[in-house]
Amino acid sequence: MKLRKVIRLKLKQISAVAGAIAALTLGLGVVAPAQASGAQEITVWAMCSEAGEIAAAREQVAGFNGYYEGDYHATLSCKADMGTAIKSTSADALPSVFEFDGENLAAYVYAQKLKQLDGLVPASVFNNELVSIRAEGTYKDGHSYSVSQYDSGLGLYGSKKKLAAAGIKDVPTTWSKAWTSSRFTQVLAALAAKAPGKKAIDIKENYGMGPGWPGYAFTPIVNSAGFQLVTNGKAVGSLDNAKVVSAFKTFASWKKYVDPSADDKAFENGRVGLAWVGHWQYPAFSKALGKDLVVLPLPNFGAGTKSGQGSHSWGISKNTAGSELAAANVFLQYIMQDKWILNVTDQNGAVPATKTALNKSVNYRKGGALQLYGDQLAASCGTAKPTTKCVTVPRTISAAWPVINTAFGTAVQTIWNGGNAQTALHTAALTIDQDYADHNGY
Amino acid sequence: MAKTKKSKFGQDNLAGLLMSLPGLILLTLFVIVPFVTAIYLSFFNVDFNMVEGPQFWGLEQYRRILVDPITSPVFYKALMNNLTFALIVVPAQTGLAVLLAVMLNTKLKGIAFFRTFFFMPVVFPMSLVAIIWALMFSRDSLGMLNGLLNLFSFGYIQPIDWLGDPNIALLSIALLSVWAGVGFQMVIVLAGLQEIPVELYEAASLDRANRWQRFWNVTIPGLRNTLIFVVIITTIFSLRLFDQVFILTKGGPIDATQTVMFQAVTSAFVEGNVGRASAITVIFVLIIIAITLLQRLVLRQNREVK
Repeated sequence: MKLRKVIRLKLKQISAVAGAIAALTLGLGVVAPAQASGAQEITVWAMCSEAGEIAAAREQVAGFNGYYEGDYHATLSCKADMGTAIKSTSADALPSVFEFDGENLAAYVYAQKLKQLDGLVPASVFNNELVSIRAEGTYKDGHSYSVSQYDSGLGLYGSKKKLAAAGIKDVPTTWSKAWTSSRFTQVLAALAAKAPGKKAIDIKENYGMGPGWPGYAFTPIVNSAGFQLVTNGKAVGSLDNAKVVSAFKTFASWKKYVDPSADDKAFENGRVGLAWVGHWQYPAFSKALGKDLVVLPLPNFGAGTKSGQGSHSWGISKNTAGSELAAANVFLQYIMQDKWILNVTDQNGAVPATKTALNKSVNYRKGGALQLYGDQLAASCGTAKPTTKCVTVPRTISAAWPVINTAFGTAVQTIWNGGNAQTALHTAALTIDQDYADHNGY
Repeated sequence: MAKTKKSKFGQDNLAGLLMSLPGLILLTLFVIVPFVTAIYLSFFNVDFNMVEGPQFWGLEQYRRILVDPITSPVFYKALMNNLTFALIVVPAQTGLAVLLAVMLNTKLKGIAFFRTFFFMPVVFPMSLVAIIWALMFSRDSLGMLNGLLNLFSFGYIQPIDWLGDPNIALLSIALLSVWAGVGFQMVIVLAGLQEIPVELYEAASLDRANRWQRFWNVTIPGLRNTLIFVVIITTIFSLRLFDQVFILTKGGPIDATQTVMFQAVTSAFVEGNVGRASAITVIFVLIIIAITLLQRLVLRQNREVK
């Protein structure tokens, strides 16, 4: 008996030492102070792909551990590919708290990996969130499953000088005045005529026109034609609608004006006068163009300009319970303070996802250089059919999203490379509907 | 006498079994078990995020892949792409490997440098190679290939959309793959070349055979077994085509670079559709086995040691 106890103690020591060594060598965890106190332990998985976000994740966990010393203690683990990590981890093995790409929320709720946060996280936190991010965190059952520190902004960037040189005077800076798609064609032609390489715009073709980038960047074309990718669980009639087909034909006709931007720098290097990309390019663009930079809404394909929304989200895993759940809840509330939100958005340039933090942000508040993004997100369409009254549309909140994203991206790629728009979008719609049918409509 | 012989045979057998055990265990664990599991899973509607649990579907996955008018064309397109790719890459890569090996099989000073140089692309990870080639393949005049063509044709050749033109994309991928892979086959052929006895060349010289005749009548027959191995391994490599496509074209433009492996991987790990991915894999393994058997039948290896 005694011997067994000794062994058990030894094992405990060894594992504690091993844990500390692992944390130190990997440099991932925040080094734990001696865990003599009865602090409630939680594990936190953060998405670590970008330097600023990694730093911010470490800082807020360290802040949490310092503030709640003796009560709670969080151990951070960084995941470079969070999607795969969550997909391949069973619900029991997930950490107490994890960060994830908001577009996958529905898939995780469906797979019973996320806990409902209504009644846990105070309503004041949700009420302070931007309407766009609240929409992204809400599942079809009407309940919230995530909180987010930041949202994303998508639009056009322009060079005032180049636009003026091409004789374009009607440069829109608010979403309600967006160029129509036919006016946009003229703008592109005028810009291209003046450009040495005869190209007018960078749409980040180098991100890949296949599945991925189009799901975020070109879904607004579908929405601006007045439709969602999927309406009430059906893509046929929505994604392959004649208006959407026509919008994509126009889009494909712009290829001759598009710089493929293999170096990712067509706009900064002055080869083109416009760029169709998100908030993350603002620091680089602003550095290269200074006062010459202007932020514009995307073109309007009939139902008003539309834009993307959504970014990383934080949730609690479904099986977290008891005092661990209480600690996880405190952690989410802790990082949703403006201070920590601005700490991360200052480092990655994203749109702060709470109203109070947005107002404190130099770039995004009223009069800031990126006010347009805040305005667009405030006018979220949510899950309703897009109209001229709203701008940003969340990516389809359904567990079918991975299939939708792949099918849509493939269709965009086909159309971009000269394929038939009607056939491509119809095939995508059939594929999506098949997936819904295979899962009893999810 | 007979008894001792028998027991000795038994011991050999045991030793042989023991020595092949590590290999057998690994094969079972990483080839046989997953394959049997794949066959089993291919009869189900099952995916990663499923809550209700798998549903038995019988042959539905196979029907969709092989027969369904909406979902089957892309599989046949992928299969055709795989075969076209193999038809381009296998002769090109094997031929180039022999050429390079013969060139590098001389006793020049610093030949090790050249051998390393040509082998280097094999060491680079394909993801890295693909990203570098993405820059060279850029469709505007700033892309390196387009720039070179334009320069050497005095502006006559207009920029080509290497990865975006459905008629060219697969060729571009093949070009990259040959460049990246040829070093591996070259090294095997180089080893084969060094196995050919010098006396044969001396004898041929005495018979006044010229360089070409020596190559054709001594080198090629001497490389027979090596070449058969190279052709089979290159065929299998080229049928598994995935990385380049995943990084550069994602199966596009207009399905021009869809491959069976690409569909299997994206079905499973992007869409989470394990059932479909399993069925694709099962069909593909059967096809690869058939091709390999056929090749072995046609190119029977010469096992005699001369």
